[in-house]
Formats: sequence, C-alpha cells, structure tokens
Amino acid sequence: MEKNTRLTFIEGERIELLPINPENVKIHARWENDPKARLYTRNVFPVSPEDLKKRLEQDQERPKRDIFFEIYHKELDKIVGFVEFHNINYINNAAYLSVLIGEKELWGNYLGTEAAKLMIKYGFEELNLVKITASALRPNKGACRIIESIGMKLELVLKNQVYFDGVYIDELKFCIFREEWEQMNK
Amino acid sequence: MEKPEVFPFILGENIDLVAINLEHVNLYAKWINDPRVRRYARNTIPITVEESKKWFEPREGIKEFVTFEIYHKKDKVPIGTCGYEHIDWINRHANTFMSIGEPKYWNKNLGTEASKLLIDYGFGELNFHKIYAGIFEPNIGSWSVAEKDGFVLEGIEKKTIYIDGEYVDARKYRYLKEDWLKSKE
Amino acid sequence: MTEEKKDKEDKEEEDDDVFPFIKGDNIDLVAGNSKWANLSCKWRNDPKVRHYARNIWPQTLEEVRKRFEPLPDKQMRDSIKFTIYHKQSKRPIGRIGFSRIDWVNRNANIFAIIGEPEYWGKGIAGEASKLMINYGFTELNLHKILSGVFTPNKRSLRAAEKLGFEKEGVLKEEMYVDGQYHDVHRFALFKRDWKKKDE
Repeated sequence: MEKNTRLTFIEGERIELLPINPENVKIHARWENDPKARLYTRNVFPVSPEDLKKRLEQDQERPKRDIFFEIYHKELDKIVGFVEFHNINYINNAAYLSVLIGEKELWGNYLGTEAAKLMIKYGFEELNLVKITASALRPNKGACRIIESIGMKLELVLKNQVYFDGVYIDELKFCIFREEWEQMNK
Repeated sequence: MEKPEVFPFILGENIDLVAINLEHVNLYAKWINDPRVRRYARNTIPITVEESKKWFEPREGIKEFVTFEIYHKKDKVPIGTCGYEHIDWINRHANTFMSIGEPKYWNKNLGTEASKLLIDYGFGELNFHKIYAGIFEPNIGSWSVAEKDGFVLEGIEKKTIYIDGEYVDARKYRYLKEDWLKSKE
Repeated sequence: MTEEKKDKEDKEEEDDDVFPFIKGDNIDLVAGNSKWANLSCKWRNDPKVRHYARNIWPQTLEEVRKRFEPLPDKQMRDSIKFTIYHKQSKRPIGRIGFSRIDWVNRNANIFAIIGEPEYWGKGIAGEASKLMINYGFTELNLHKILSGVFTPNKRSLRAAEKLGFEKEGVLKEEMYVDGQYHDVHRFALFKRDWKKKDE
C-alpha cells in the first residue's frame, strides 16, 4: 500500500493503525473463522464476508460505542490483525480493549503488545478515557503476558465464566487507570 | 366481571413476578427517571414514556433479556421491576437486575423475596449456570441484601462508574448453580 | 510457466474465499459463501441428493441465495450451518449443521448433506459429523444432540450408530416418501457419553 493512499490514523514503530477497510472483509473473515485465532476469543459462530460487511454498515452512531483499527505491518506491507475498543462509555470514561493478530506466523513478535500500547495512548490522550479494561481466559497465557506487559493489573477473577472446550473456566479481568499510565510514562 | 390485568408468572408470598404490562408504562417511566431510584441504576439520560414503551415491544429472535414486574399482592400495585439481561446462552450466564421503584416499599424485604424467586427461575427454569450482579459501593442497602441472599463477592471494579461527580467502585457478585443446588439441600 | 502461474492464481482465488472454522483431516467446516449458491442450488434440487435430504420443493437460485444473507448482528440463532469443504479437491461438497437449536433445553438436531454423490461412502459424512458433534458439545455447550433418520436411509442409520448415537424411539409412519409412509428413527447423543468416547 502506498504511503499516500494509506489512511494511517496512528503511527507506531513497526506498525500503523488504520481505519477498517471494507475491501479487506475477506481477510477479516479468514481471521475470525480461523480455529486457532478464535480459540480464546470464543467466537462460536461461523462468519461470512457478507456478515462482516453488514456489521460495518451498522456502525454509524456517534459518539461511537466501538472503535476498530486494522493493524498494518510496515515492513511486510500488509494488515496483520485488529485492535479495538468496545463498549466505550463516555460518562464513565471507560472502554474495553481487545487485540487480535490474525496472521499466526507473526505470533510471538510482540506486535499485539505494540498495538495495545498505541491504543492505550489513544484512549487516554485522545478519547479522554480514565480506565481501560481487558480480559483473558485463564489458559490463554499469551494474552495474559501481553496484558501485564502493557501495565494492566488483575482486577477480577470471574469464576466459571466461560464455556471452553467442554468445561467452564475462569475469565481474568485486568485494568489500567490513566493516572497509573501517566506515572509509567513519565 | 373485572378484566384481570395482571398475569402472575411466578407466585410469591407478598409479591408475585408478573409479565410486563404496557398499561403500567407510565409507572415504569416514572421509576426509571426518579432521581432516588435511578441514582444507583445508572440512568443518566432521561427516558420518555415512548422510549419505555419501545423497550417492551415484542422482539424477534432469541431473548437477550427477560423482565418482570414486581407486583404487590395485598396492595394490588406494581412496585418495581426485575429480571435478567445480557443473557449468554452458550456460557449460560446473565446479569440480574432489580429495582423497587416505589420508595415506600423499600426496607421491607420485598427485594429479597423477588430475588429468591428470580434465582429459582434462572437456575430451575432457564438452565443458567451462573448469575451475576454489579452493585455500586455506595448502594450499601442493595449489596448487603445481595450478600444476605447468597451472592458471593467476586471482586471490586474500582472507579468504574461516575456518580454524583466522582468515580465510584462497583462490587461484582456471582451466584453459581452449584451454590443454588446446595442451598436447596 | 504461464500455466503454473495461472494455477497459482486460481488456488489463491479459491483460498481467499474459504474460511475454515473447524479443521478436519480430509475436510474442513467452513463459513458459507454466496459464491457457492449455484452449487448449493444444484444439491438441493438433485433428485439423488434431495431424496434423502427430503427436499420436496423445487429451489430457485434466488431462494438459495437468500439463505446466504447475513443475520442481524449479534442475533442468537436457532440454526447454524457450515459448508463441508474437501481439502484435497479444494471444493465444497456438502453442508452440515444444527437446526432447531433450543438454548434453554440445550439440544439441537444435527443434519448433514453430501451434495456430490462421488463422495458418498467415503467416511466424509462421518468425519464432518464428528467435528460438528464435538463443536456442539465443547463450544456451543449443548447437552443433547438429536438426529432423525427414516428407515430406507440405511447408510445414515449405520453412520448414526457408529458415532455413538442411541436409538431413542421410532416415530411410526412419520414421513411420506416415494408414495409410501416410512418410520423415522430418533437417535440421541448426550454430552456425557461423547466425552467418555473420546477418553
């Protein structure tokens, strides 16, 4: 993608965050259906590109409850995943963060960490959030590592919250406050 | 012969849980907007009668929420609403909500009675695995009752909600099916 | 050289339309795609295939296309369908899913149709069913999976038994096929029995 046609919204070191491009709906569908990628996101219904197209069309309200970005890898010149805020509450100034690196061969390279850091900065400095939360299923050690490495702390353990591979497992909820983040970045 | 306007769905001692009745929609709107009631119910935006009506319109598809009117048997009046929302049928959990809209019925253990009927319904009829509730720290009345009713504190979400000019904590409670079964032994 | 390149392009075109949701050995269960509407229409009308699938109404391409339309977002559904995609031949060969999903009673009916008769009798339906059953119990949190098979469909009766389904009962003269009434055998599989099988 040419630099001048790419809609870079947030610039990072190795990655950029771009608004969702509806033309990439097939790539998005591949990631959302991929059994390995959806294992911990608990996406239990198959998703077609048509479904995703429709979802984008419905995303019209302002201020937005959810904000999605594609993660663009500069060197590889392709999109590699999503990062999102969900359930943004403009009165409580809180939002829920989630990251998915859809290209499995890139797992383990801390791209998710980089995307999450950019997103948190955007949330605190631009959206005026006060609290950002994230969650991970207990067996998902990878996600727990990322979440802790960006400075989030464990807030709640929801016991037997999610049905996973035939049993109920705990969901761990993490959070970071703006004051904590500001301290970290002094 | 008087036309019955209440349709009891679950029978209790002092109260019944009955189907929502759109003839009472003015009452529902009054409660939702009443500052004393909405304070801890997190309603920060005024809700009109039309909006209330729309909320209770019949919907297609598998239910995401279920609402009851709490009906006072002796006084023959609706006094609040309760039910389940954010129903997750795969993980089999839901958030429970309860609100006694008429302050003169507060502190009479009617919330506890409605809660018990609702919990039995959730585990015994809807086949839930886990019921959860979030109650704000200053709302001592509600959470001390919840704990008395058998809800277990799962944790505290700090500074999670903006009430009266400050960020306030939310107490997260859970009720698991295994606890319900134990309570029935 | 040109031909190789062309093949590669075809492969890429096919691959980027195929979204495996559950991976198997010979087949994957993939999300539906409206570009397969023609194939789906062929299967639904094909006399050999529709005989056992019990389609008694002719299906137009428009009707079939409509089935690929997206559901309103976040809508819980009472049926879930996958396309059975043959990995080696790189083509869709059938359809499998749950219908009549009852979320409170936690049961659902399983159905499977292999639309391409050359893939009958090769264990494909069995493989797809195993993946689907595992999905039903370990991801959808079902308690019981049901299947109804009518008597002449001996292949399906055998397949059900092989998968561990137990006969629950017989619905007498339940289906009218080829001018006659036939019994439908009702089979059921419970989550507790499925796990045991795996161990």
